[in-house]
Amino acid sequence: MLSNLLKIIISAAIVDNMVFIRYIALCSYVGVTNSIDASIGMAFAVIFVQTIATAITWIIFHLFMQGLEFLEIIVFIFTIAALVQLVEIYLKKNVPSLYKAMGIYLPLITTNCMILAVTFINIDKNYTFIESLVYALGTSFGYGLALLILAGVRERLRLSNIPKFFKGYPIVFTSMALIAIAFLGFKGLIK
Amino acid sequence: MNFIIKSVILMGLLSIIFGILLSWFNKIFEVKVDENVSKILSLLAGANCGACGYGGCEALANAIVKEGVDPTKCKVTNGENMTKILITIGKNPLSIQKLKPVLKCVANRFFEKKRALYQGVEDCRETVFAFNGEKSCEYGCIGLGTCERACPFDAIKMKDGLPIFDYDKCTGCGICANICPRNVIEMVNWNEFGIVMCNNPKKGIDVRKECKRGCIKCGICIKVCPTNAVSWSKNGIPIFDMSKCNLCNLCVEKCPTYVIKIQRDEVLLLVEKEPEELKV
Repeated sequence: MLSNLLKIIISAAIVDNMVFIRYIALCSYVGVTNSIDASIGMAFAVIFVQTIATAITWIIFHLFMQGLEFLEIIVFIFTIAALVQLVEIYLKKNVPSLYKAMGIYLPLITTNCMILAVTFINIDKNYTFIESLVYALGTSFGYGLALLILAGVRERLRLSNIPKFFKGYPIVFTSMALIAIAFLGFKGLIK
Repeated sequence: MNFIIKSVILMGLLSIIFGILLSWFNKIFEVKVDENVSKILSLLAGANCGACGYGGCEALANAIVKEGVDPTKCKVTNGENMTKILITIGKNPLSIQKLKPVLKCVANRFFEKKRALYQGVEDCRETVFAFNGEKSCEYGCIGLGTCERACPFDAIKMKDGLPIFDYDKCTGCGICANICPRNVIEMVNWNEFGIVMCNNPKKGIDVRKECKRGCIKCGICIKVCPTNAVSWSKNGIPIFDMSKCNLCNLCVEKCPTYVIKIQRDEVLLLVEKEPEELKV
């Protein structure tokens, strides 16, 4: 049981990294990696929302949606959006410090494709409740790791002498691709 | 037909549940916001640049209302909105003075004199530690564009090794002047200013050795001024008293290295309406 969970978390975070191997959530990935501070805030907000969204969507799917699998997309998007709103309202009143730290990232995450993708993958792979929670944690950790790596690289890039035609997004995409190639090396870590 | 009814029921139930939950949450977790705070927040520039020293516009709006902080700490908000904010908290709107950045250096790549070649991190702040830059002059603009990258409004462009300010985009927040390691960017009055565009306090002969265009302390501007608006400052560079200046432009024309800049716009910063009309 435990070794199974460990396998899931490692494969989710590193071997099947959402950004580098599956190419999911790239828009927000390029968007918030301007600075390390912003990417840390985003990473924690994603971990938070991802876990809650997975738990609720898993329950809804397995309790109410037998024979209604074609409604997956609508119901999941709907649930995630409403959930993030609820959490935001709650945090604003009761945990203002956390609300301030997460700031604009919470509503931003509502439309993050990774949250939706992970809930789908959980259903597709027939994970149990605990397994899907662990998988959600793993993917969001992997996403945070990817954010931190690229944010660090971009902070260095900003001060370095780059050829004119590479300035801005071209060099960001190039370095992203190189990191992705490095992550390919983890393939085969888990059988 | 069965699955249609089922899906309608599912979606209907879900939307009803979430709708009720959202409205209920909104009620029990309602955060009361001061009326003045939201009004001031809507009037502030909303750039979240942090130049005021607070974490974003919302924090400043809170501080203005609760701690009585001076709203003119925000240099970004335009004159009309700032007037409204000042009226909202009951202060005299005529106390605003808006500033804009001017570079106190004209040594672009045609006029500078180099003593070394710098290769390394493209950042003025780093260069200061590396033998104080590649130009002979240790007071002028280094020209590696730290201000360009620091400007949150994209108002600075580097051209021929000097920053060019775009005053249509500039909001006068002063971030560039703070980040410059040589303090060569001076914040001057937006509408009228007179300045010597050289930061080198050394004697004329030494300035000549270090730069083709610098203030050589000849004093012609002081002698030629008919209204005595120019005088020596403490560090030996002439300063201008704009209340005496009559814009005769004699000093600008007579300056042997053409480093004097004088400007006065007739359009005043504050809108010339009565404060009563601007009441929110």
